[in-house]
Amino acid sequence: MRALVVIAVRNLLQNRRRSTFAILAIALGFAAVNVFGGFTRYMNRSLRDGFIYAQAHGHLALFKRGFLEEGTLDPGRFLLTEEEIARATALLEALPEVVLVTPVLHFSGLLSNGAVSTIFVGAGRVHADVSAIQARASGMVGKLTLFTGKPLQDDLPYGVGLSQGLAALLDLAVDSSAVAVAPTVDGRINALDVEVFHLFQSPMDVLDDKLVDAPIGLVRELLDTQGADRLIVLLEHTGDTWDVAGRLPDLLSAEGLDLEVRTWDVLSSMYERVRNMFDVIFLFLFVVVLVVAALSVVNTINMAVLERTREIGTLRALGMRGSRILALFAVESGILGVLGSLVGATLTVASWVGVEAAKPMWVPPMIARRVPIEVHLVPEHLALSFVFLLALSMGAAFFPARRAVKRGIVWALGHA
Amino acid sequence: MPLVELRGVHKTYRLGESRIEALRGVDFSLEAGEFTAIWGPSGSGKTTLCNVVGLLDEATSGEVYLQGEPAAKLSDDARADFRNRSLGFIFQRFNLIPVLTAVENVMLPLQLRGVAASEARASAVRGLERLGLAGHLRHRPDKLSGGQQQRVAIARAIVGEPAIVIADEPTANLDSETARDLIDLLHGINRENGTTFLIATHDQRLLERVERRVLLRDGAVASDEAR
Repeated sequence: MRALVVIAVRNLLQNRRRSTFAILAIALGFAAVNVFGGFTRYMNRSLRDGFIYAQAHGHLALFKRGFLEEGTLDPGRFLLTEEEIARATALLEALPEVVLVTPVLHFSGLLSNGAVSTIFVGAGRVHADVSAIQARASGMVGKLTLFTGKPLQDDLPYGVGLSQGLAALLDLAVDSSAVAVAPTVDGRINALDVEVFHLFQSPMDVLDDKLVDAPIGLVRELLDTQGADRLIVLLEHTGDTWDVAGRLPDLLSAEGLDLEVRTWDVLSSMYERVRNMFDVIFLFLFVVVLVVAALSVVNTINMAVLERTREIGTLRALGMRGSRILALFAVESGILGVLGSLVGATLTVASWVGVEAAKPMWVPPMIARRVPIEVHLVPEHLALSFVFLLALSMGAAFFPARRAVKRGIVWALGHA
Repeated sequence: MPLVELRGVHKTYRLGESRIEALRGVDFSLEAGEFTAIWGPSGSGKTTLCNVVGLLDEATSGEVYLQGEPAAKLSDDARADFRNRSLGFIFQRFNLIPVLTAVENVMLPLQLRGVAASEARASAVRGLERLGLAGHLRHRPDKLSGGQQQRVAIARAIVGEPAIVIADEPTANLDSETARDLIDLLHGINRENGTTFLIATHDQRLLERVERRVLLRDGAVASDEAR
């Protein structure tokens, strides 16, 4: 084996330029896959954490059965009652994975500045819980302040947050007063004075002239109910989401609660769409890298086999078995794969350091604010890329080397 | 028991549409310690015969026995092992591995046999010193003259103490003086070690030194004379 390695290394050094190109091709492929993979990881994490923490949607949402299909038509019928909320909350909070359970009540109506009115949609939430959820965000999402003004307070239920587009439409600013008009669950019209505590950017442009965020107390008073349309559940670990969601229906049934459970990834259609888009882009990139790296190694080994056909014949004449000839070229291409991966890992880390230092800004989907781009290096991806490119390199050497072995010793010895 | 025995060996090549009969029913045997030349005009089948005896090629028909064993029964790996342990080759174009030094080239057959590197190196150094290459151990082939390269090739061929050394036109690429030295060297090894040589050549100087000359003509043995 030592002789094989010596021959392999010296042949690679003998053809430095060719070996360098192959190593660079593998290295660039390695770096491209891992840097883009790291960016994709950052995107997915940001989207996930944006939905779960920044927007305080939590990991799970529980609805009264039928709400998701018919709740808009008859909201009063599908609201969770105060008693159901209390029982479900007690049940959920007993689970070790659960950190927090909080009710949410959505509402819609007209917002008026006294002269002009416009429609709005919004959510009434317990803002102490919202703050607790947001505080658990890590990374970029955890560092963001998503509004300008002062935070909403549960004990000051008249204080609301408006999306910037809605505020602009009604010429409202922080500390301005307005009137919210909405139908109660019984179908009567109700109106309440509100004060603008803060302004925020909608995660989606199409909703920027319509969104209101309010303490649940205000919304309950406006809709004349003590209910909620959903319960938001925050878990300690995102990875527990599906396990808890799978166990909950039986637990709820046993408690006599006819509730439906939805996980965050199902409720966040944007997350799924963006993730799928990045997965497709990543797949394309991966295939391109795969082809370039494979062709580069195949070309290098093909040339080596062609140039050294007589050498192969000599080695076989001296008693080297065909399998060891294959091993010789596998070692050569394996060394290319290892060196290419090491250079690629260095390029990847250098790119990561560069991005960390330069902090280029952009506006990601679902977070309407310029934030620094990040690359999340994933050690498993680096290791997997290394193993994959090594296997690819060695596999790429197999066919040209086997072809040379199969042609016969006399033919090889007669090769110029 | 002869070291090598060929009975009615035919070897046919296909070259496009045509068939070339390189060997036509060759009967030949080689005893241990012989210093034998196969000679004849170009295309007479000398190299083909060496290739068949050296297990580099297979006979199309007929029987080949090496040390009493039928060659046809050997698998590809067994043939490789047999070449490594029992045969040594000297090629017309030396066929040294260009990226290895002289000593590493000579070590190679032993390393393929599984001999430890230190032991293989010691044997290779001894062999090269014996052939007058003590000052060229670390030289790569491209830093050696043709005669020196052929000496390295000889050292490589005999380092594993093979039963037979097969040399195909070993003097063809050498000048007269170097060729003469080489012939002396081969003859000396044959006499001192009792190594069996089968040499394909049409070099008259070499033919004058061998003990047995087998003339091939059109793929068949035309004469077989002991001297």
